[in-house]
Amino acid sequence: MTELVNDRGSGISLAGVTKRYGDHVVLDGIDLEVPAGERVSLIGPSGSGKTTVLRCIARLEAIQSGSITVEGTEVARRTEKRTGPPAADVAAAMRGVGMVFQQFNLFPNMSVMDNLTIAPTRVLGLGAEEARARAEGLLELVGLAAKARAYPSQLSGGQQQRVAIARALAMRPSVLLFDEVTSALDPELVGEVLEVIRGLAAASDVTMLIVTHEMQFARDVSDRVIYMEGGSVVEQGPPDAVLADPADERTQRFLRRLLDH
Amino acid sequence: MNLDYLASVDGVLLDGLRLTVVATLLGAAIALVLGLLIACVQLARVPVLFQAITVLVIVIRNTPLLGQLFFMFYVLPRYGIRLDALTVGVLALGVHFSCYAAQALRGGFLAVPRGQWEACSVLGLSRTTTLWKVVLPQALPPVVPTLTNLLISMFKDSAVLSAITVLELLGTTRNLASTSFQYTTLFTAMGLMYLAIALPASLAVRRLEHRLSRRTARA
Amino acid sequence: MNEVVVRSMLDGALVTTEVVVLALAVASPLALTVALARGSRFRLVRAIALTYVEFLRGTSALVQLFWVYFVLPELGATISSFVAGFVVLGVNASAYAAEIIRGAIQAVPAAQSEAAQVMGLSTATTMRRVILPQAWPIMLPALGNVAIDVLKASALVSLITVSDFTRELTQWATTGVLDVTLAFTLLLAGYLVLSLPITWLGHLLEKRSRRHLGAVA
Repeated sequence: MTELVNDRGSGISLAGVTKRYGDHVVLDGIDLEVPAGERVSLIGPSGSGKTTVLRCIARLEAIQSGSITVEGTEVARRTEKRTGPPAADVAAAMRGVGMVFQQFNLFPNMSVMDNLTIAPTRVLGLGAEEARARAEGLLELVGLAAKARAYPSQLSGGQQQRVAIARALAMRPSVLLFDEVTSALDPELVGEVLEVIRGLAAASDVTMLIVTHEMQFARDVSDRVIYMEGGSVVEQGPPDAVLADPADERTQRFLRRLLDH
Repeated sequence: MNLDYLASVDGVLLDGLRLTVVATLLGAAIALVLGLLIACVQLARVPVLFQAITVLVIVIRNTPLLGQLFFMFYVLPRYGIRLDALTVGVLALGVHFSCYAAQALRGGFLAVPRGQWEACSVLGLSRTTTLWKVVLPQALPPVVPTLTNLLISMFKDSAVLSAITVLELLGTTRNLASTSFQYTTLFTAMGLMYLAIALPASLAVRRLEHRLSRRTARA
Repeated sequence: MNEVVVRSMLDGALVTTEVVVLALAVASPLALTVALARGSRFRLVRAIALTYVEFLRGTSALVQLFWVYFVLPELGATISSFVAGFVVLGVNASAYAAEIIRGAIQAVPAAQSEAAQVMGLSTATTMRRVILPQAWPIMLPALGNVAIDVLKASALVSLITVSDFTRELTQWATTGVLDVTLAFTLLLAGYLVLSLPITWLGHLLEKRSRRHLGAVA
């Protein structure tokens, strides 16, 4: 299981990151340090900017001020206008960052196997056989060894999301970003996906940044929980402290509303 | 209809039809490649090139194919570009239809969800890999009916090549008629030959469209 | 460019305009009739309408022009090339327009005609007062394209000796009176200018048609 991910790097750091769409401020000068190996859950109401934090780290969004560092390399800063093709050192650092999306985003034109091997062969330069072997091992890990030849449309939502996790792992990332990975799933399929992530957290020392609405899951898997609202960090700390005994009134209100449902 | 006469010239007419098909296929190849390029320039908004192509597309879509054909046939030799009539005709067809193909392809590209591009970006796939392995295979199939309809249009519209002396089906028919005066026979036979290809083809596209829409409805 | 050339160009442009306007006048009632016939209760009517559409779309306007121009006289009917020109273009365009109108009618939610039916409105009234007004903004953009296509196809009448804009300019260019580059640039520019009112009118109608249907569109 130790071969699952890269050596421990130095984690992620955001310094004064601001993200705006026109006049609308989505991230308001966020500072965040995630040391290698830590599991951090981001919670908060929709529109609080938690998903945007992940998207900025993944370089899917440009930022208007501040800087983002991944494994010691600055991968984003304010002067950049677009998310164009990155410089070589940035590309190298980003290879260590994997992301799992709410909508899975598997490639529907490829089999499960091809979904898992395309990046390792084309980006890491692995041989076909090696990439295949790695993919088979990962499918085993997420419990889908029998589905290698299936196409995404033939799988349930939960199975697709497990494939997406395996696809991210195929790059041996040191950082994994989970963006509301169970929000698009039917309730009965949520468990199998969370189970895979729990297993991954237990078996490896990959750094995890998790945006989720599943409070019990956040509590189980995280070292730290961060509550965000209005593009800022309101409160953070150990899961038991933030989730069971929040200090800030806004966090209390948010958690109370969740319980009511 | 004078069937005896028709039997005596059917080989000549079929040669004309063959040239019509050849001109159509060559024109289609140009239209597809050029259309893809135009769509890419428009989607990526490549500066200068984007503006130039926008103007070109407006001109081509709002002026007659016949006028474009004459323009290329008479004006190009002035600037030392000497091409035979068939080549000019194929080029004109290709350029004309590339604008329509570009529009269809652009629609196909835009229909690919953003998440697909994002997944490629996060996996570190290069632009080329993203385009060829992920985006194109998803963008093309839904626009196949539209592209096939364009191919059928091109097949029918290639008749204008007769105006610059290309002996495709219409040109051949007019040629034969000018000496035999068998207008009714010749022009009816010609019309039926166009129909014999275009009708089944458009029927097949309808079927395909129906199948595709059912599939997307299920997905 | 002397006065004779300019005058002939303007005459040609006028002829082209006439051909287009008359062709659209022929096409409009035909297209609406065929579109309604395509959705008729009677199988035979539907079959006839479909045959009309498929046959006209199975060959190009140019082939149809030549057929009418060369074959009709042999069958004993003499019409001028000008009349043959706009009639053929109009009939040809009606097939395309009919399919667009039919598609727009189908795009209006079925609940609309059900609601009208429940109110006791006749089929004709439902179509005229409820369905067509809602289908109108849906079909307008595509109908505008058909009108542009008619303008473009009108150049083909020059090949059956109608003295339209294309024929006038081509004649001056091929006889050496006008420089070919100038002549054919003017040719394309002329059609571009002639297409402007159509595009403009299309936008105007589209804007007006959506005035009351803002929320629906």
